[in-house]
Amino acid sequence: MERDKAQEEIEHPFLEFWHSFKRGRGACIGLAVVMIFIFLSLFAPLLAPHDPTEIFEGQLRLPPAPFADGVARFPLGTDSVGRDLLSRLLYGARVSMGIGLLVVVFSATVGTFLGLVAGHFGKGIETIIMRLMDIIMALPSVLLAIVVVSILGPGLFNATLAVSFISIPAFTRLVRAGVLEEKKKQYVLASASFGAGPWRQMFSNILPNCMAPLIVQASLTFSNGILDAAALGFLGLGARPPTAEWGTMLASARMFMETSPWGTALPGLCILAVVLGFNLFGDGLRDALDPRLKR
Amino acid sequence: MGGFFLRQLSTAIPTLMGVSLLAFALVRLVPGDPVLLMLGERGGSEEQYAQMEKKLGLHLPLYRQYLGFIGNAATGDLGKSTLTQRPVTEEFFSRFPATLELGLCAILFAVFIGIPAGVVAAMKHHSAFDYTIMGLSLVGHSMPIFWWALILIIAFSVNLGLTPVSGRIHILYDIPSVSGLFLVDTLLQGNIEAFFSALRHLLLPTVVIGTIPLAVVARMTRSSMLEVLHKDYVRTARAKGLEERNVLIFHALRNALIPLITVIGLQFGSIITGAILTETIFSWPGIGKWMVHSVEQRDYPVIQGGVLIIASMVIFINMAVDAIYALVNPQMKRSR
Repeated sequence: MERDKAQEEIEHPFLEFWHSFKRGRGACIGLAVVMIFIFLSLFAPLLAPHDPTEIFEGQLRLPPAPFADGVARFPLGTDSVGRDLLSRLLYGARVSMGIGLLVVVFSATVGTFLGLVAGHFGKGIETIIMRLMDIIMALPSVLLAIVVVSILGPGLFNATLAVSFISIPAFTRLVRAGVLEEKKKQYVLASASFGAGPWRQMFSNILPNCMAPLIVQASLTFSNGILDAAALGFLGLGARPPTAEWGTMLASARMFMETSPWGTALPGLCILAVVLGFNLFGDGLRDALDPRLKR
Repeated sequence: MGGFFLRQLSTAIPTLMGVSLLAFALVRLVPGDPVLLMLGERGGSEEQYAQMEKKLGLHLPLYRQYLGFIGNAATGDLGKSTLTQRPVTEEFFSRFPATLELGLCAILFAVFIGIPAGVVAAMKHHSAFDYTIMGLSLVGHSMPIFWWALILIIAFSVNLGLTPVSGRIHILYDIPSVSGLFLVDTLLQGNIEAFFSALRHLLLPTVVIGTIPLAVVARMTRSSMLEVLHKDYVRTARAKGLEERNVLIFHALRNALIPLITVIGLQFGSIITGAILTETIFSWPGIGKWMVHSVEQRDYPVIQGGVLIIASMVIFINMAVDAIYALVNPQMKRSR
């Protein structure tokens, strides 16, 4: 009896997190939006009615189906060269989610590693790493990204690399701050007295204990990555046509925005929805994971 | 105070040196031979090549090149644009007022709408107004502003015909440059019509650049006010029988604004990013459009110089923000 009760009171950490996460209305909306876009990008080939790069001659800039000139074959209409807009938007979700994922994986890996090294070893290494981060942060993000692209040359992958590069400092700073706080604690000292080496201390002991802010940052980096990569695409420095990338689609629909506004409106709405979803999700994560905010 | 400033300067200088190193490395990181790039498509004879190499100082060892670069930069010489052959500094500062005007207007827009909105939302915590403001600021914060700009153009310029689509002022007006800010210069000239022309050109770009700062300011004002409203000194002020309005403005808001100084200062980066996108869309003749154009044209001296100037500005603005913060925050005074 007693034991059952005790077990009931101590929840699994994940369940505890989930109970506090689902109390936030915004967080749940965010999670739903994120799940929808993950679903759409995973199953884009099955859901898309046409190939995203297939050109239908004579079917230029059709409005979405419910409008007067709309055709049921093209549910959301066609773009300026006669490609199915719905299919392009679906594949665009794939591209954007891919960019977001790559940016997070790359910047979190590099940023976390640098932060661990800076926090754990301190001294000269720390100064060099943190100064480097200050330098990266002294430049406005999109400016730095276009400069990196000017070195690497335009393209989707290079744009992703550029955006990853500018996302590194946020992770490094968070991890370093976490390490400085954790390394004074008893469990780290105890582990050191058992002879744990620096790498074991950094990765197995300290890192898991400063994960919470990192998870939140990953969610925000995801949305910023999508936004910045779309901005580069819009400036003609990211994905190149005919790649179905939302920012690039916006740029090429811009010339016709007076006569066919949906070509401009829809890709932008998708960007807004994804970014908003991830930001809401991230805020929800922060509220649920940050012990200082817990009621 | 002097000591505080010195300490700040001592961290700013290494960062500035790092930025100059980054800008210097930039041109050397570009694939291909910069000398051939400068000579252009036509190429040139071996003699011309050697001449250009000497002119660019590329025959010197790297450390000498770098020392030369920062030595020149310190005297305001950042080289010449490959496109126009004019000094980079001159080109930068001829375009800077346009971006400054836009940036200042965007900040004013964000502050004068964001702070009152945040204050009212905090006073009416959990009301419909509060939820609306918070919802809007969430959307604003996530806004792809290049799309937002196009939507505003469709709505206000194309459909309603209220605002022009590009440029800073109607081509008819010839404004003698005093401050470089058209709103000021037209007033100095006493030309009211030109003033309104400049204002109408400014409207949409200002809203576009100001949207994200507005969202951030509204949100921060609200949370900062909510925190302050529960403080003892606010309760004391109320207990003294002060009018609610005075309590809010002189006791709550004054203290709630302190953290906002940092937030507003940090928006500078967001404004440069906004300027890069917005100026390109509205053909605004400022720094942002110029940088994008230089990247497209691979005008490396301009990219190098522009990066250095903008980064220096960010560093100095951050320093100034920290200094103002220290000046106005009574808690910082005590700890010094």
